[in-house]
Amino acid sequence: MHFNTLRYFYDKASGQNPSFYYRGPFLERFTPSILDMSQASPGMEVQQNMGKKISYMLVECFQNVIKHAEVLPEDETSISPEGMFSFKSLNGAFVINSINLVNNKDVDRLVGLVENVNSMNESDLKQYYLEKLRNNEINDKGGAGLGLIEMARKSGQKILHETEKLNDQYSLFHQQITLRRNGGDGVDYQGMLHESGEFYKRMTAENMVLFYKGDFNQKSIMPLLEMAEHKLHDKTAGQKRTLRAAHVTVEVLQNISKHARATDADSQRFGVFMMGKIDGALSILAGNIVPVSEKIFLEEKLDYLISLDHDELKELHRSTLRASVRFENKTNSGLGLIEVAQASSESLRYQFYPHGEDQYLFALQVII
Amino acid sequence: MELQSLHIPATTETPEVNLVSDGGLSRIEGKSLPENAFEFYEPVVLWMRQFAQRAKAPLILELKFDYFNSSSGRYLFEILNILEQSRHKQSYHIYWLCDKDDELMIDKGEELKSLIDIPFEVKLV
Repeated sequence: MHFNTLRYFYDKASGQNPSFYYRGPFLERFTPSILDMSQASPGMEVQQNMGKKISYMLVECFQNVIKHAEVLPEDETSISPEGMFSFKSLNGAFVINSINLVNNKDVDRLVGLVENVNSMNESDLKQYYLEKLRNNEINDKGGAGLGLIEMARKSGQKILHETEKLNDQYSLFHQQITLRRNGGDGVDYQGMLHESGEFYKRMTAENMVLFYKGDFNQKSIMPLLEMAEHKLHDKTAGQKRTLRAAHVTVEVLQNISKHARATDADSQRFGVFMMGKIDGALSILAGNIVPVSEKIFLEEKLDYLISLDHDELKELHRSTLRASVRFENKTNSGLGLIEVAQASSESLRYQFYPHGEDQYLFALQVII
Repeated sequence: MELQSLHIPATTETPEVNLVSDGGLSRIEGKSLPENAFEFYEPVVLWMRQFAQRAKAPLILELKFDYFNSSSGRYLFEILNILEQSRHKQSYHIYWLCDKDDELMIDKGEELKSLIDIPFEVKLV
């Protein structure tokens, strides 16, 4: 996971705000985080009260995947057990993608279920839903199939799907649910299903866990942190690295939020955050848009931090802390980047990419 | 007028604050990662200033953090700084409690201790 990965995802997700991808195990405890994150974007409120419907759909979709995803036996190492969950908003449409492992023997049944609801109109779906509810059918995965019907009812659009055979026993099941409200006409939905598969491949190849592009505020940072923290619990690396990584994550996320706010006139604190593994270490990549003046300041500051060794960074932190109280600087103590440099196991790396006129995408990589 | 005690319940982003002026145990405990640390710590800073001027009993303060962000760190230092400035007329004792495996919080405690001239103990629990 390097700067070119950030560029790839950033460019592909242009026009999407927010855009979120998670690759990893589907855990029930992530449901609140996903819900919080979907509600954290100001763009959602603008979309004619779509917010509540979106939240409902996200929870249904996510929990549906939890129910249907196949758990790989431990001795099966030839394929990746990770699934992917993603949502994005663009041109008046909200699109939810999921990719999960299924047993080949279940593929026909699953495709049949989706095709069945796709063939029904609104009143058929209602009838079918009530029938299922009355009969109280529960399948061996603990669901009644109600989730899928509900998704189809609330969406009002066909559920797109694709199956990709991995070997004799397992396949990947891709699913895409769309919500449209007064818009979403010019979107290539089939293309998005395909692209989500491409993203999944790239995330797997680069051992990537999270990608988020959108507004950065405390509401979106907290669920990102929650999900990152879970992923950071690495038994082999020990608690020490986990804590350092969590520390860097908070500082990096809040740094985006702070700086993006200062430069963006419409109060959106736009930024991008990625997390993954690289040669056994954790890699965190973060970016936000900065004006030219900020670029010069950041380059100077980062080059200086990069030039310092462990003890010099420690001394700089002490003196900055002392100065912060003397100068009554209430908002930006300047300690964040120093702490990130201190926690990073390798030198910080950064890049600036031109973004429109007089602006740059500032990308920072921290290895832990 | 007697200084009132200050209690702020914990949230997912901010610690629980329990400050008393009667010589009992005061405590700040939990996670501290508010985006606007000034807003959260302002009443704490204000309370400490009043304590430094008016208190009749010593302040025994336990600080126990799972985690705090850099801007919270700045305000923790400010609080300790206020206490330090009145150390000749008031009595203070700070206990910095942290998990023995939590190297980050141990380092933070040691750093604050080295910057402040009041009794400050880093205690591993």
